[in-house]
Amino acid sequence: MTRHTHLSDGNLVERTLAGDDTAFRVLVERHTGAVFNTAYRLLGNRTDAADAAQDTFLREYRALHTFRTDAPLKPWLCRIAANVSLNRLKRRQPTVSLDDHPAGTDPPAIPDFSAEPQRELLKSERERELRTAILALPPDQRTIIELRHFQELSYAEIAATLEISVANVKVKLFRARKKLRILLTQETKS
Amino acid sequence: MTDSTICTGNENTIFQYLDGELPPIERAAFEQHLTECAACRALLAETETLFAEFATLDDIPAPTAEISAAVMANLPGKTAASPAERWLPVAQLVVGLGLLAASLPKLWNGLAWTFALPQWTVPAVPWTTLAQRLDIPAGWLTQWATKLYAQWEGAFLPISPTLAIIALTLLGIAWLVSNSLLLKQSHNLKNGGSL
Repeated sequence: MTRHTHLSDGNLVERTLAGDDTAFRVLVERHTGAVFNTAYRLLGNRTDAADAAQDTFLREYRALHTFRTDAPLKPWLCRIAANVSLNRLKRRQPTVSLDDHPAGTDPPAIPDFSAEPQRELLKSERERELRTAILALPPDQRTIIELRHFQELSYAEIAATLEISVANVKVKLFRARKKLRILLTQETKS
Repeated sequence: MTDSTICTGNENTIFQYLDGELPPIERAAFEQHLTECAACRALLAETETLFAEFATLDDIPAPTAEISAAVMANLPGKTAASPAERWLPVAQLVVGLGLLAASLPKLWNGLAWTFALPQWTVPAVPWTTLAQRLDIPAGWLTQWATKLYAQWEGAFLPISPTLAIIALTLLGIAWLVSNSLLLKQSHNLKNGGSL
């Protein structure tokens, strides 16, 4: 497998399409971090995120023949991961609460404050607030925040990914950000 | 538009401005407005800070090995098998059956030869001669071995090829069976099945 690690994503895709599953394994290992974290930001727990990451790669494998090998693979994968996670979110019960961590999500991890304790503590606290606020958004708003702020997609790309109009993207994004701002204000006060 | 209460509807403009999605004319107008409106400038700064915070969210470590193993174990079967994949089991079966068919006359000949032509067999070297050549001392073990060896005398040459043919035939059958089992298992795994 190590003989494949120097190859570009495009080359690995071509090899996979030619029947070389080892090349696909390299692709999976190369992009698991990005895919897993996309799912984790949307789903809020490691188990669901790992399942969503698996689904993402299996979908990728099935759809690989539609991928243009000169295009970057990572954004494509993260978009699949966002869609997979959104579908999972829609199947979940909407029992999100900000009193504790949102239902169905892991409690925020206890960070290591051994180095630069004060600054790390503040950063960690703000990070927790941000994650909690994002997870408290409804699924479609959560996804649109993910696509805009973490995948850095344009409005047109978001519209194509979610199969909605650009005007709809603007409306949803506006609502999501407005709600996020309110949630963060509440979080900071509490 | 210097009064901040007039600017309550500008939040969406600020979002689109920061996203780089405002058309040029609207962008220029908004930038002009910003020079006059303290409330919008404050909201813009606050929103910029919020957007910048998204970038500070650290990635958490992913269970790469587990995800990779699970994905590779569940890869679906290819939608269209290559010609080589389609014909490989058939080719293996044909070759296996061919070998079996070719070995049958030999098997028959070997058996017939053994029973019908015992005089063609090459007499084995008597044990005593062998023991002398190998410098094995005489004793009860030598006597017992001599008796045992005497029973085998005479038929070694025809039996050996016969046994070889039988062994090869059985080996071929075992190869065919094990191969078909492995192919079946591999097909199941490719289609998302489990062991």
